[in-house]
Amino acid sequence: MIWINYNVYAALAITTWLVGLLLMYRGKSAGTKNAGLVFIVVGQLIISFFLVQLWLLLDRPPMRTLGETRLWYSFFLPAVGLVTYFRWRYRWFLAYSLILSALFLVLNAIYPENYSKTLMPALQSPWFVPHVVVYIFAYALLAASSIVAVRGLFSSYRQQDEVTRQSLGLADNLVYIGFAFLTLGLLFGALWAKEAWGHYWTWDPKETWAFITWIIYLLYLHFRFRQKLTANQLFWTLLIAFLVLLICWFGVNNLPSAANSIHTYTR
Amino acid sequence: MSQKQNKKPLWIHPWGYVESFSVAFGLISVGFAMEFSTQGRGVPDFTNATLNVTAVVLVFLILTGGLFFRKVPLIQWLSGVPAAISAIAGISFMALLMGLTLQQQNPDAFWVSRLGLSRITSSWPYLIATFYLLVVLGMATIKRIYPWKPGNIGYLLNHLGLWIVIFAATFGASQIQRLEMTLQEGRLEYRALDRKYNVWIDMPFAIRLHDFVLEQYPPKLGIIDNKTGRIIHENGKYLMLVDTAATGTMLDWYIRVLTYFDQSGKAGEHYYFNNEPGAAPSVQVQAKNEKFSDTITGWISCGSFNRPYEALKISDQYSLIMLFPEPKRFLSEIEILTKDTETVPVSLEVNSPFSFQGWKIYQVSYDDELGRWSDTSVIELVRDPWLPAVYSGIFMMMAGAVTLFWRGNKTLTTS
Ligand code: HEM
Repeated sequence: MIWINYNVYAALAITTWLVGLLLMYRGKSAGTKNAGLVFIVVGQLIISFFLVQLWLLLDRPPMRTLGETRLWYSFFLPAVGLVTYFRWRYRWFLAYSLILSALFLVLNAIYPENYSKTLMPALQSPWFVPHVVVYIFAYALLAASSIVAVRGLFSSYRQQDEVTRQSLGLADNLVYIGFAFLTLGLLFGALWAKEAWGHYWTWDPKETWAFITWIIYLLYLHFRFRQKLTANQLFWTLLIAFLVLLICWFGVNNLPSAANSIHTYTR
Repeated sequence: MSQKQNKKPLWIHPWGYVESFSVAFGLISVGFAMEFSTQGRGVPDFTNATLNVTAVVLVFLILTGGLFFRKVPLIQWLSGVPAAISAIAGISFMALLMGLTLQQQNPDAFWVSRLGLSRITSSWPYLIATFYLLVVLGMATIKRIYPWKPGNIGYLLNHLGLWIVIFAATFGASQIQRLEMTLQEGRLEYRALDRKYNVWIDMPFAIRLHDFVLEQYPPKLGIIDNKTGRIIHENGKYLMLVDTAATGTMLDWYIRVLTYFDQSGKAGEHYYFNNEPGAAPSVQVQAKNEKFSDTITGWISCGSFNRPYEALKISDQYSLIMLFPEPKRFLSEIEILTKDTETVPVSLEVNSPFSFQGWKIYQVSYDDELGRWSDTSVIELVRDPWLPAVYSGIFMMMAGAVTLFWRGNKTLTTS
């Protein structure tokens, strides 16, 4: 009822991305390649437009349910891809982030969620938007770092040392920035919890897993400092860290420890 | 660990990963042994004096060790990366245990209760892992504070900030008071319940509830299976908010709302507007089956504490029902009265606590059954003397996160 027209928007965005990538990869002249880039940006604008509409329609930030967070994910992934492209010209990385984002769009089309407008009082807080936006942005960056890690593992398998070195540099960068956002998300969450529930940290299962995710990336950060780990070991660390992140994001509600979590809002 | 490690005998300085992880593992094992030998009773409630002395001793040890004995191999190891990684791994391990086991009051399994696995935050291994982390992090921080270099500002904000947060949260934990106060409209209350120790506390001020206000969303309509009584909502797909969607589809049924009263009473077969206590919302709906072109019209109400609910049977298998309206916001109009006869009027709402004389006052709940007619409001009074310290650590870490962000840029351009 509410996510009406979603499929149209998603299809439009995915189509523009496909056309854009095709032009970028197959285009002969710089002009065609730039046109491809324009297509991709337009796709991004389509997603943004849908998000704004949804927000207005719901009359609350669309950040509560899994479906809604997926939507933000498919918004931020291309954004990260585009920024990275403009700054460092990683075309393959842009392609990966677009494909991943399209995957999330398709997932939402297959499992539509018609959530209604109600938002429980504990979620009605000025902290809500910054907390969730910062977190989703962190997740998008860290997801990107795991893609780069896979790429790095491939290249080191094929002994393309230059690509491996570059991948490690990019992965590092994504993790540093992603971790900064992860930290901010965690701290915003703590400040909000104090306002809403009376304590900044109660080791609720969701908080525990958010902490575990944070600390695994913290381990990576310290492995990187003057330590002699090989590129492959570092890439694997990143993949494991991302696995934990996924548990935190999807899995927590299904873990035995979550029986009395205050963070399960989807009923 | 690198493959080209020279064959240094173990436990000869400088210590590396093997030694560091052995220490962390050993410390946590000792913790579990202590937990086991004390029948899983966990860490006792220390007196404030004990806690303060421990805190001072800890800070003193870290400062003297880090400042005056930094050439000692033990201190060098404690302030290095292998020790740091082992300490972080140790606390990760405890957090993982916490994330995988149900944290609850009375576990049945013998090992779970004997090893304190169901209340890890008050267990010995957790406490010891935290101390190890505090020592290592403290040593690492001092190493980069003195001698000071401006380039270390990001490092300082992150590490000292985190150290302050953990230190203040750990030593402040037992001084936090969380009291629950139940207010009745019109009555003056000065006693609050400490749920942790189950004792009543006389507050230095009294609180009177003038009015409890509950605003609700319009109700939702849903579809249930007559046999199982379960709501079939498919992740919210078949829940229809009466307000926004006057029409909707549930399974094969096309639903249209004909009449909606947010408060109503019933006379004969019909509902009419009414605002007495307990007057429940009701709707008249039309359900049209798209397969069998079958149309049913009728009234539905969720009822209230003094009214029955009413469902509409639309087939042998299914009925339409109304869910209780969900709360949109609730607040208590209260008045705080102090001993020197000062009165402070406050409108207390979820997510905006009121600070008063070192206490933070929170709106918590109300009488669910009476809902909007509740004349009871439950509030919570929280005191946490260490909160300013924790917050200053948190703000340092926020600033530190911003520096990390910049550093990320720098790393890439140089590599
Ligand atoms: C907010 C959490 C933390 C952040 C963001 C963080 C970040 C960093 C960064 C970026 C470095 C590299 C320093 C540089 O390149 O100048 C570093 C080094 C280091 N960190 Fe952390 N860290 C954190 C927590 C910890 C913890 C919990 C420990 C110890 C238990 C620790 C111990 C160390 C040590 C020993 C070094 C090496 C310092 C040196 O040898 O000069 N850090 N950390």
